[in-house]
Amino acid sequence: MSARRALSTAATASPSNVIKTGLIISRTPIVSKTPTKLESIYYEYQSELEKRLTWTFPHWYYFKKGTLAEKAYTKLQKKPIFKVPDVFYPRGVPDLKHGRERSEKQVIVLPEDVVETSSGEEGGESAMLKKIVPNSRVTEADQKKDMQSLERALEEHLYLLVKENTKENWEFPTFDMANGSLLHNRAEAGLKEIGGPHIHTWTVSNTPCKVLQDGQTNTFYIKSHILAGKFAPTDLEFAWVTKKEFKDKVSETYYTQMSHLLN
Amino acid sequence: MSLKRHFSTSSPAYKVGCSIVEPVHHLVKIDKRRLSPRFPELKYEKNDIRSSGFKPTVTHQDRVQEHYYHTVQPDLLLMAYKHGATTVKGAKARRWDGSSPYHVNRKAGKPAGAYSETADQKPITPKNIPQLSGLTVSSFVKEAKDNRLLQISSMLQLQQITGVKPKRVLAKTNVVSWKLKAGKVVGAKVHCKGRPASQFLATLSEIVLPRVREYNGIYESNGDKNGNITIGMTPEDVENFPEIEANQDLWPHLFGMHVNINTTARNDDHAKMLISGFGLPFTRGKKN
Repeated sequence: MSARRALSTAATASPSNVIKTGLIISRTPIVSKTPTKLESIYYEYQSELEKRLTWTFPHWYYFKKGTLAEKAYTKLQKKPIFKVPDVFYPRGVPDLKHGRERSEKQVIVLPEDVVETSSGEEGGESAMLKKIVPNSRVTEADQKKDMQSLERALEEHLYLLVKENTKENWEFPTFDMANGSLLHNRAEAGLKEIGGPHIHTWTVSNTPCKVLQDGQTNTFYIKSHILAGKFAPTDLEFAWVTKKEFKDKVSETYYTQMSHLLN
Repeated sequence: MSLKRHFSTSSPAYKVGCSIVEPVHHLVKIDKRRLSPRFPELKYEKNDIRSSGFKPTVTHQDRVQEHYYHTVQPDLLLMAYKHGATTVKGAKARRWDGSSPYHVNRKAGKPAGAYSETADQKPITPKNIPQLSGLTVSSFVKEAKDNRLLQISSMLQLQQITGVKPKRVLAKTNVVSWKLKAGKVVGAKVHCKGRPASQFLATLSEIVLPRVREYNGIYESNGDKNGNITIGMTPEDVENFPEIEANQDLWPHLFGMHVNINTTARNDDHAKMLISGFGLPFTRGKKN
């Protein structure tokens, strides 16, 4: 006789109720967002105000009196207009303090060449002081529209979409559950099964962020980030897409179900 | 006993053992400065451009905060999610029940099982995701007892590193063995909020701490149970700040400091989740 407890029921894996796990894996933005026109104008206005209100640059602290550096510094600065008695100043009477016109922002020209030669003893240090030129925000992959590259759309989140040969639609990767495994473990293992072992990811939480019901199938989505490596499947179409491209790729119903999860 | 009011000693004459009448508090706070028609230019709010104390704050893009809103905040919501979570009361000071009139001014007992009060643990919803509320950087300068000028250089150090004007720190108590007198200036501190805090945190996590010797991360045991994490830095660590490294000959003395990262998290676990999202890893180990 089987001694089953009356009140508890073991979950039976009936074919009418299938559980699957899905993976929303993203590459987080690499560079900051380009400010809009309004934002950049506002920032410019505020920073000009700040420069106007800021303290006088203490050149006596950074360039010690009597040094070559001080000489080079003073030579580069624009001479202020001094107040002389019985002279009419159409643009206002000069108000100087420590050689700074107090009614305007202070413009400082730094003797960059002097800085470089003075620290030229160690090659590494002078290399550090060289002017930093930022790379372009638009990469090669952006220009080629290489959807499989991770070095594109640097300002935005990229999400991995796959299309299996048997299916018609683009979707987030989903995996059938193996017996006794957990949702997030299965999602991590499944990604390596389809995309090769050379991908390093970080699962945000073992709590799924979405359940998608399709008839008798419940797909639980796990959120994850790619940290390093490459997704390189053998027999699968894939693309790293932004939210905007996601809308164009997937079906309309899939977009309405998933778009709120994306950034 | 006469109840005549003297200028020096009025309160003992009227004092009773316990207050029977509820104290009357002014319900409307009166700012007398505003009642007077004099000095209208001093009555503007600090964020008004006409005020003499105006300082622009939104001067550039805040990439740390941007990273928080785009990546950290949505992740935290998922990480901190607990199914069917309810509010768990924190450890509170044990107040007297008022069964005796002597209870009125009696000091409350320490909270049960804790050294100090802890906050109620509320379930994390989109409205209360932990975020960075500010940073406090402070240094206690022991040598300032003998050489007052060293305290000024410690202020200068904090000003250079954070870009915010520091405040003096005064000794609170007399400690004879340390030659410490109450009211003596013994250090400096600075509170950063907003953009300066983001800037400091980015410098710390991207430049300074990775260059510290034998640095594996902040020790996990750090924290005050209320969502504030403190990092200790030695003078050798401070040397790694780019502002100081650029002209080392200006800094004959460097001072160690404490960086107190304040968050709106109600416990240390959530605070550590948040701070590790800003690129400050945690390791198992003792407090540093």
